[in-house]
Amino acid sequence: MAVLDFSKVNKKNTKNRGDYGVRVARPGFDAGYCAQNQLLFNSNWPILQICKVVDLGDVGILDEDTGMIGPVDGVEYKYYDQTNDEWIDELPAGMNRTGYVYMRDISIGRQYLYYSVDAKGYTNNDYTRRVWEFRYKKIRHGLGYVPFFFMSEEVSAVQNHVVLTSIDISKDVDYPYTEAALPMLNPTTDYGIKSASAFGKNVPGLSSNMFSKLVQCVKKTGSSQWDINIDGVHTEKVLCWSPFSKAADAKAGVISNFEAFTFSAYNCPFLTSDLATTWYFTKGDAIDNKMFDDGPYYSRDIVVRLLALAETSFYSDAMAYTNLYQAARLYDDASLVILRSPMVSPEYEEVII
Amino acid sequence: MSDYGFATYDGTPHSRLKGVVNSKWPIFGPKYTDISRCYKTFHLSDTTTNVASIVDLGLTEPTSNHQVVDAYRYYKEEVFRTPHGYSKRPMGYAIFTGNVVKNVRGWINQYHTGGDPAYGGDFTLNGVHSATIPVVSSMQKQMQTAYTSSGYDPRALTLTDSFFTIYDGSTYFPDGDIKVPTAVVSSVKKNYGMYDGNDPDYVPMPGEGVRPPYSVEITDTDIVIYRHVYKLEYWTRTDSGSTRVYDLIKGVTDTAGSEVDATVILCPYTMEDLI
Repeated sequence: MAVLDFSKVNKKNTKNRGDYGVRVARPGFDAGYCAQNQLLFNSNWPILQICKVVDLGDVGILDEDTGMIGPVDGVEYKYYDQTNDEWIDELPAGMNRTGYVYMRDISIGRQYLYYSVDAKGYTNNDYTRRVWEFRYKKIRHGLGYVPFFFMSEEVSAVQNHVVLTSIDISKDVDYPYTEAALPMLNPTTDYGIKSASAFGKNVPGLSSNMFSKLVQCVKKTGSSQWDINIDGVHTEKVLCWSPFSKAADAKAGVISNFEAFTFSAYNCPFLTSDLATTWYFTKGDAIDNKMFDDGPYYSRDIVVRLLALAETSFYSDAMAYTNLYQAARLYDDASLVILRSPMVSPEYEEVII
Repeated sequence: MSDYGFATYDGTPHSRLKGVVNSKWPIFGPKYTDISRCYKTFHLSDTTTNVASIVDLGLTEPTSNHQVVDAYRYYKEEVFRTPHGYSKRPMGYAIFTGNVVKNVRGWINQYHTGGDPAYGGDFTLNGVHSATIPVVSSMQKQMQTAYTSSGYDPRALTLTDSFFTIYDGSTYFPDGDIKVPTAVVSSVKKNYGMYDGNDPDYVPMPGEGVRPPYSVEITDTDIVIYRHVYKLEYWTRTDSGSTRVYDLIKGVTDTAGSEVDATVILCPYTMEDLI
């Protein structure tokens, strides 16, 4: 039986950031020489900073019962002529609608964010020509990298805003921090660094008094995927990651403290997992090879998968994630992002519900 | 205000800012000096069981041969509420970790009117089908259950016990727990959405695979945790001569037996402050 040393997997793509940057030690420690867990802040840590908030505006109302989508302001249209393999600006005459997909998905590239509203399929009367219509919003974020993002709905009562962070999800990185969560630091009020932010007076900028999630790792399929071979039988390739040094630890506390996100990536921003699932477009299709702007574009995927194969397998003791829908057709740019809290919460309450 | 502060680079030659740190970008997370109220773990021990036989979604008996009347509905039950202590609603979410026990409880009553009793027994069956599902956390207000290649697919946790298939082949318990929802109001599709408000009868997001056992809501004053329950009622009639055989199936889910940590993280500024 194969044995995989996950401590090596963890370090495989460790980003070497050298010794430049900003370090703030906890009171009583020397910032130049102390250990990581004696620091209050280190600019080497891949912390979760908010760079930009993008307003999607009116995104309409989806009613899948009636098949209607409400008004969506500021949308653009693009047409892909599958027969002639080219993008066109208008729907050709004499086409009949044959299919409809509600997408309402976010795809993000290095410069632009696409909000795909829906897609329609058309054919002519004798079925010799097929054209796809995409309805979307295109918004420039201009960050120059592909940011890890989340929706305002996920963290607030505000809807239809996309929160872009400082983390580039298109590059592999492992964060060589301690494996076990640390006790919470004692609060400090008049110590450390604090800056103004780009978001007005109510929002602090970078502050060593803010407790951030750390990006434990970004794993790309192209460089971080592993074959699952059980006793010589190939099963599939998956993104693989584990924060644990011992298998027993993983069994005891599977994914405690960790948050997992998967992203699919295509060159075409409309080719989200919804569309791929519904119409079987895949990475490398002609439509995907018609590069938009400066793709690839990353969209959040719904499902992460916990692989717990045979008890005798090392994979039963570690975590691996794969995009369920894309499992059979992995491609280079899909990403897995793991966030973690470096410290355990100081308050713990037992609740019987 | 474009040139104040400091930033660190990622070391790539000729790179622009690549997002290591930038002093103008706020950190998303709790504040150390606030930590006891904005970074809390609640360990939830779920003990509440549901009873399928009392599910009543207001159906009426089928009036013709082969007629099916059915109803499927989600319910959101408040299970825990505590003040968060902020004067306005902070940004926040919960990380759910642990194992969820998903119980699908079924009840069947088959009865007949008229004709030969042999064409339809009058009997009632109860059953429960349970599975333990590990939880995958992600930044959202709902819990996401993981696929396990050696265990259950939580999307299709069906009642397979033989007593549900011993008679009428048309009898079924679709998806065991949850029907793919058919509508969503506003917001963005997929699993981005949250379930705001306290409406106990809500429509979840149509993201495939998202079958949240629990969710959290941060209101203006409180942290609220909900349990999600699915209820089903399915009524059929099959005539044979003068005999009318009725199958009334009721189903309900619960998560009794689950042991879950809900770690709530609140950010001291609001989303409104950012936009």
